[in-house]
Amino acid sequence: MIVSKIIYYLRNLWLVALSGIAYKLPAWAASKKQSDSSGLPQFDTSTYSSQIFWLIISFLLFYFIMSTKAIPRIAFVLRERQKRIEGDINKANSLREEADEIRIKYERFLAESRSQANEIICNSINQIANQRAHAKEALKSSEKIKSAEAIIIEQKTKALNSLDFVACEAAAAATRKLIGTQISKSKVTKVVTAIMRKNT
Amino acid sequence: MVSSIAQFQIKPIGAELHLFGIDISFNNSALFMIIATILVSAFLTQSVKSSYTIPNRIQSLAEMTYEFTTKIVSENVGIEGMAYFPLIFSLFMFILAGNLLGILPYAYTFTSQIIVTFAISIAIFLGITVIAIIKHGTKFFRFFLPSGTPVYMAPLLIPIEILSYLSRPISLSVRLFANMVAGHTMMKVFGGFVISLGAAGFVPLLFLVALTAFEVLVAVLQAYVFTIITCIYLSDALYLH
Repeated sequence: MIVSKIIYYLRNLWLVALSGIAYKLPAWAASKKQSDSSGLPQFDTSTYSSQIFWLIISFLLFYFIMSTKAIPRIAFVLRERQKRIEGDINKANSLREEADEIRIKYERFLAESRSQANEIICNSINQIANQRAHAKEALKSSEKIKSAEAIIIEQKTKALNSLDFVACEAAAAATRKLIGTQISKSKVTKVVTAIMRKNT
Repeated sequence: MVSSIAQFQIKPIGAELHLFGIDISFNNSALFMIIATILVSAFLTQSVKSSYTIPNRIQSLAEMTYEFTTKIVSENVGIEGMAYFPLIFSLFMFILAGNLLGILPYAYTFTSQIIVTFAISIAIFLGITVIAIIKHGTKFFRFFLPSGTPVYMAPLLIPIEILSYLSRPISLSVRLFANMVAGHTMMKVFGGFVISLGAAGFVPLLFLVALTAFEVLVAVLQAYVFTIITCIYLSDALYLH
């Protein structure tokens, strides 16, 4: 872009134009030297040439200092601050993201451990229930055993009692057959029980 | 009583100087141009030193003038105008310094000199015209006939447009000059009243206080107006209309 480049260089052109006026006006100023003192001093053309000269000098100096020193420095400071602020914001954002991540992790961990704990609790509840059922059953069976034992004992005593009776009968019958004498029932019973006691 | 326009008198300082037969004697107007240059340069370079994070008051002020001018240029000219930013900024600060310095007692207001304001505005005018012609070539001359104008209006409209274009530097310079002259003359007139009225002089004195505050406003406002109109002319040159 040659055109834009030319324009870029020509942005100083009005300074050249300004100096051009300095060449144009002196003749005018000289022709009207020493005008009347009445009226505004601004229209006293004799002062024009020197004012334009010093305007050009001071404005060129001013422009030079502004464009080479002041503006770059202020721009630098502002840019630097902008950068710093952006950096801080980015840092804060990344820290926040990190914190979010940690929070999410923590929450996930919390949920996991909670579910794990729930599982453990459920398991132990089940286990306890099972054990309880087992224990109940065991209790039930032990009761059955007890009642069966009682029945057995009862049967046993019944049997033993009937055994006594049978033994007495048998003993009485045997004695009658062997010696032919009838022994009283009470005597037989006494003897038999004595013998049985001895055996048991 | 001292004439209220005596304050605008150019007084030579030192010996008469000549360059190629032209009178370039140093005077009070020139002195204040140099003072303005030194003060503003010192203000803008020394206040903005090394602190990057939190600026102090004077640095904030320097940054504010910078950002203010950036805003004027970017809003009125656009991105392309940023190439001219140093010039616009210098222009604004130079005129602002001239206007504000002039309010100080015994100071000279160089912006109250028609030749100074006119020299600045004619330089701007010529520079902008050259930029426009380089950028747009012959298309630039269409500027004097807005598009969509009926052909039979052209003989009437073109002279009007040319005249209004040529009067730009005049209106630009006279606006600043007249504002400065009027304000300072009025202050001087009221200053005269304070003296001549004796004990009753405190009434115009009170008015003078208010007037001084008003002059500060005018000083800033006129510098701003000068800058913003320059920006508008520049944007006309860059984009036509």
